[in-house]
Amino acid sequence: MEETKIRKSYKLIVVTSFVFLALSLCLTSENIVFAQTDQATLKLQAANNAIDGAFTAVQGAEKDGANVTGLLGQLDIAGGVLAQAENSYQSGDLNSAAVEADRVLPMAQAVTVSAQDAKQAALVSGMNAFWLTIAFTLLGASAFVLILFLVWSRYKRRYMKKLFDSKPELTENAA
Amino acid sequence: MQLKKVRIIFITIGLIGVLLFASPTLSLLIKPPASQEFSEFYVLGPDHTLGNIPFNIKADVNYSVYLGVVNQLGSSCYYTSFLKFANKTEPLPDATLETPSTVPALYEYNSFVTDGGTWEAPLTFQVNELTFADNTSTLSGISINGVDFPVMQTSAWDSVNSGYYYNLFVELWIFNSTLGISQYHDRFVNLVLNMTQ
Repeated sequence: MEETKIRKSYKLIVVTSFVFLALSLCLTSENIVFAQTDQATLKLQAANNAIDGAFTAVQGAEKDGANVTGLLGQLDIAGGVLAQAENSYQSGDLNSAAVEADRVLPMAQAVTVSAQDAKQAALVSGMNAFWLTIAFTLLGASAFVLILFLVWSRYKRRYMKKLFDSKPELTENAA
Repeated sequence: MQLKKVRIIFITIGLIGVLLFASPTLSLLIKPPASQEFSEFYVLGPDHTLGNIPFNIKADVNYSVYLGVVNQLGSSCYYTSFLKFANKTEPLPDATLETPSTVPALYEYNSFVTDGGTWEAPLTFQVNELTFADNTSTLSGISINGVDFPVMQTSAWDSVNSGYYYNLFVELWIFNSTLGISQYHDRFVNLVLNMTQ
């Protein structure tokens, strides 16, 4: 009688343990999936922010007169990797999404740094070009006006001389 | 020639010369009016023409088209093209309200295009797990550029146009660096697909 009781208790313990184990496994794996999703989402967000920032830096450099064709080429490659990451995420491949998103960050950072350098260089060369243009206008216009004035003075002098030379002389007829 | 007339000629030459020397500086100060700004968004068939654009679609067959963007906005732009798949009852983007479709995006392209530049990319797609029953077609998966996406879309038989119709459309979004966000650019291309057995 007692033996049957012990056996029943034993069975109950085994079944309860099994159910508990299965439930905890389910919850753990669900947590892993949630954690993976969160991680991939965060990495994609970071990659998107990095690309947005890099493009804003490139656009700023372009506005200041820098040639950004090369930088846009680099950004296009980084943007392609980001699109791959987003597409992997949409298709449910969270691991690939996280790995690809990680690849985007250094590429975008490199473009941001290069864009800032290009912006500085463009600002300096733009300023130089501006002052050079102003100097060209002032010196060129002054020199032109001066030369024109000299030519005018000379012409005027010759004209007057010619005028005086050709002036008819009045002679008095004494007879 | 009278001296007065010559003086007027010299003054005119002087003014023209000063204007010529000042023109580089004036060009820095006076900006010409901007030309019309816009973006082009287009889809071409597999031969880079408007012909042979896929329409009658069979399961497990690859179809391809080309997507293109031309930037005429006066500066470099960051475009995102969102590809969406919908049946006939789901909404397309609204051209009047300039709002995108509420259908979630399956696939995306990012492109950075210089002013006056063109971006073009292939789009290949293949429908998978297509079934027909009770005047309804059911599609469970679509593969875009080799990436498989689960979709669960059904379309009832369209007796007027004789077919099971779906829309595969691509919306063009543009990055607004002032706001720091991508915004719908009020342009989309749509491929009407008729699923066949």
